[in-house]
Amino acid sequence: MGLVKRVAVAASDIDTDIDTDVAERRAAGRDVPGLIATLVAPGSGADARRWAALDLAGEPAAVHALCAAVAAEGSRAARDAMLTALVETGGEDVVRALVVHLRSAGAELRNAVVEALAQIEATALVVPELLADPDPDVRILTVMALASLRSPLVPSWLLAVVREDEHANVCGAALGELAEVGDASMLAAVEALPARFPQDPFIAFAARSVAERLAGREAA
Amino acid sequence: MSADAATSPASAPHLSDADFDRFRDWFYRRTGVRFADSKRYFIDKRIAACLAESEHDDFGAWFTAIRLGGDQALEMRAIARMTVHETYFMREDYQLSCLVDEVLPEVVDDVGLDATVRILSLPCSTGDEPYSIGISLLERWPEIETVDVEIVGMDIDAESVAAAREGTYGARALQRLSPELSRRYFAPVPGDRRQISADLRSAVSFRVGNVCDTQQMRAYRGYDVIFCRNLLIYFDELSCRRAAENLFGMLRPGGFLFLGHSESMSRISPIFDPVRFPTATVYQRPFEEGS
Repeated sequence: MGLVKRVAVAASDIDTDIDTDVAERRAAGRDVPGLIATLVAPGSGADARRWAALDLAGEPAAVHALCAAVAAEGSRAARDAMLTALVETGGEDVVRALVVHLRSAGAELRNAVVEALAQIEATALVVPELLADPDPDVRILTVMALASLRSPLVPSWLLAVVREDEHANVCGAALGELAEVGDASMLAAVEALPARFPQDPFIAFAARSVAERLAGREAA
Repeated sequence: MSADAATSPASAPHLSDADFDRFRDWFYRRTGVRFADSKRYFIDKRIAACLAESEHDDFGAWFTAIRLGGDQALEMRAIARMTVHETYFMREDYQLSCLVDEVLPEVVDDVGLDATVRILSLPCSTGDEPYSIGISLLERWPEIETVDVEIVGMDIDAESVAAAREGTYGARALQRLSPELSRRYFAPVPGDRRQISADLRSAVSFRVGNVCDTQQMRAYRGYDVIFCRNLLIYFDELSCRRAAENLFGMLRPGGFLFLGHSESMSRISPIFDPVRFPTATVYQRPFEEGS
C-alpha cells in the first residue's frame, strides 16, 4: 500500500493510459450520422450523449440535431457539451437555431443559451432583430448576451436600448452593461433615461450611478 | 494567483478612477481576480506596460480592443501581465490540507479501501505540485498505509515533464518546505540544487498532454481527484469551455476538481457542483447526470 504507479505504462508520453479496447470501440462507427443517432437514441446514456456531442463540434451537418437535442436534454452535462459543440461550430446557422430557445420556459436552458450566444461571433448578425423582439424577456436576454459578446457595435446597441426601449427592465439591464463599455458621449442618454420612467426609482438610481462612471471617460 | 509582483519598468499612466474601476470590473468578471484599491499603483504600472507593447496610445482604445474588438492575444497578454507565474512546493497548501483532511476520506468512502485512489495534477509544470501531493499524503494521511494512491502529473510542455521526472529544484521552489521535510525527501545535487527522493520519483508518473484536446484527454478516465490550478485563467472562453468538458470526462462521477484559489468554475461551466469544505471550495462531478 502507498503511492503506486499503474502497472501498464508504455514508453511513450502520450496515450499511455488509453484503454485500448475503449479507444477502438470509440473509433469504430463514430461517423456524423451515428453520433447524431446517439444524441436522440432512446436509452442512450447521458455520458454517451455527452461524448457524441463533443465529437460533433465543427460539424455543420449536426447543427440542427444538436440544437434540437439541447432543448430535450435532461442531463446538465450533456446539454452543456451540446452547447460547447455548437459554440465551436459557430456561424449564423447555429445562432439562428439557438435563439429559438430564448423563448423556452426553462430558465436554466435560457441562461445556458445566452452564455453560448455570447461566445459566438455571428450572434452580432441577429442582435438588431432580437433587440426589436416584441417580447421584453427576449430583449433582456439579448442584453445579457451583450455583456460578453465581442463586437465593436455593443456600445451603440446598448445606447439604442437606453434611448428607445419602452420597457424599464430592458433599459435597466442595458444600463448595467454600459457601465463597462460606455463612454462620456453617452452621458446625455443615460441622464435622460429616468425621465422616461419617472415611477421607477431603480432606473433613477442606476442611471445616476452609471453616469458617474461614464463622466470620467473620454469618448471612444 | 496573485497581483503582487511582475511590475514593469514602464512609468504609470494617469488612469482615471473611472477607467481603473472599468478595468478592475472587467478583469474580475473575466478571471475572478479582484484587485484591491491598495493595488492601484501596481495595476497602473502594468497597464502602462501593456500599452507600451501594444499599438494603442491610450487606455480607452486599448481596453476597447480587448473588450469589444476581440483581440484575444492582447487580452491574454494583459492577463499574463496582471498575474504571477510561479510554481513551488506546497503552493496554496490549504488546498492540500483540504485534500488530505476532507476530500480523500470522502473518496475512500466512495471507492472503498481496496480501490486505487487516482489523482491527476495538471498542468504539473516541473513536478512541484504532484510531488507536493505525494509528500502531503505520506506525511499527513495515515490511510496511505492501507490505501493505494496513484499520482499522475501532466503538462503540455515536454521539457517541463522531463524536468519533473528528473525532480531537481533550486532553493526558491523549496522555500515553503520545512528543513525537516527538505532533508527527508530531497538530497543535495551539484549546482546548489536538491533532487527529490528516488522513491517519490518512481511513485509519480508524468505525461505530456493538452487538456483542451478531447481525443487525447478521453484516454484519461476515472480520476478521483484532479488538481487544475491557475491554468484556466489563461484560456480564452472557448478553450475554457472545452477544458471544462474534458476535466469533467476525466473525473469519475463523484470525483473532485481543485482550481486555483481565485478561479471559479461557475464562470466557465455549470456542469460541476461546488462543494464548500471548511478549508476550500472544490468542484465535484455530480453522481447523477440524468438518464
